[in-house]
Amino acid sequence: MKFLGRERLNRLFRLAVFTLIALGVVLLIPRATGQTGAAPAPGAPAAPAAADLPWRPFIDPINVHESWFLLLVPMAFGVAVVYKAVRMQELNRYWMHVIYMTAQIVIAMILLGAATYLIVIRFAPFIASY
Amino acid sequence: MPPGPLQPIAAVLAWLVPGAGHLFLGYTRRAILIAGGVFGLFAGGLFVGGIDCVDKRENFFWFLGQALAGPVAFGTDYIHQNHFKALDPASVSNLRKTDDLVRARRGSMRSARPEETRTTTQVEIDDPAAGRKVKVTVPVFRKAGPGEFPPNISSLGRVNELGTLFCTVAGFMNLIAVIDAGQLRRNRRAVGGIRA
Repeated sequence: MKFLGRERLNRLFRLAVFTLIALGVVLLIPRATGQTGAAPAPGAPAAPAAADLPWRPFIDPINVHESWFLLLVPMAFGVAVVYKAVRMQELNRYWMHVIYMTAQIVIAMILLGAATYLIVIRFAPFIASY
Repeated sequence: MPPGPLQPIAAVLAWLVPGAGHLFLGYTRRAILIAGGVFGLFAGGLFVGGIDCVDKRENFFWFLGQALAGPVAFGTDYIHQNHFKALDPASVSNLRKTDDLVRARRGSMRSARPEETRTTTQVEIDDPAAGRKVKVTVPVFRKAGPGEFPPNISSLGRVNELGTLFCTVAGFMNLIAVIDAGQLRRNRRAVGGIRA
């Protein structure tokens, strides 16, 4: 990793985080506006009434039932914005710290999820089998 | 760093309007960031889960956390309870006296189903205090006709959980800001004429 240098590594890290956030936005917005989903096949029964209702922002929920986990990124970002605004003595390199904390939360959650998966799906049945 | 002097006015302002406590103390940039973060999280919750996510009656313990974001949570809940919820048509026919109405308003108000719309109806009930019958207007759901919609669509499952969580996290982040504004532990050195 020495050939990359600290500054380049930082840039790569920022790029990765921004890409993750942008990916989340791109995936979420079409779902929010109801633009996703295949058109019903000819002869298929009519869609239920709820699907035909207009979407009103901040009143009706968005349809992210399949990609709800992506919402962890904006939530972690919001937490980091407030926490760093309160916690930092000086606000130098504020946004860098915010992005770093956002990434820390997201990675920690992924690791916690993986650990929980291993305990519940692998370790618990293994213990139960004895 | 030792805690600074207590700032109760700043703490109250910080609860009333997220960021206002720091603005009162002269930390303009921090105030903007705190307000943006807290309101962003709260609005994010409403965007994800709809207005159903702030509900004092059905999600009381979550609402306790959301209330930490200040009057915005109470205002949202007031609008939700009074402009989106209504009585079930079946429960309206059971209204006999004012006690029934009070009980119905506390326990029987619900969100609309997709095939319903919200309207109002007048019912005549006994008022034991006045000793006569009075006419009251109550919100009620009825089956929607063509071009009519429910006032809101209830959020379910993960979407409801996440929306509620966003709004509650907004409240708890504001609690951190309230504590910080109430008892600053920060070096109050001015940077470029503005406190950082």
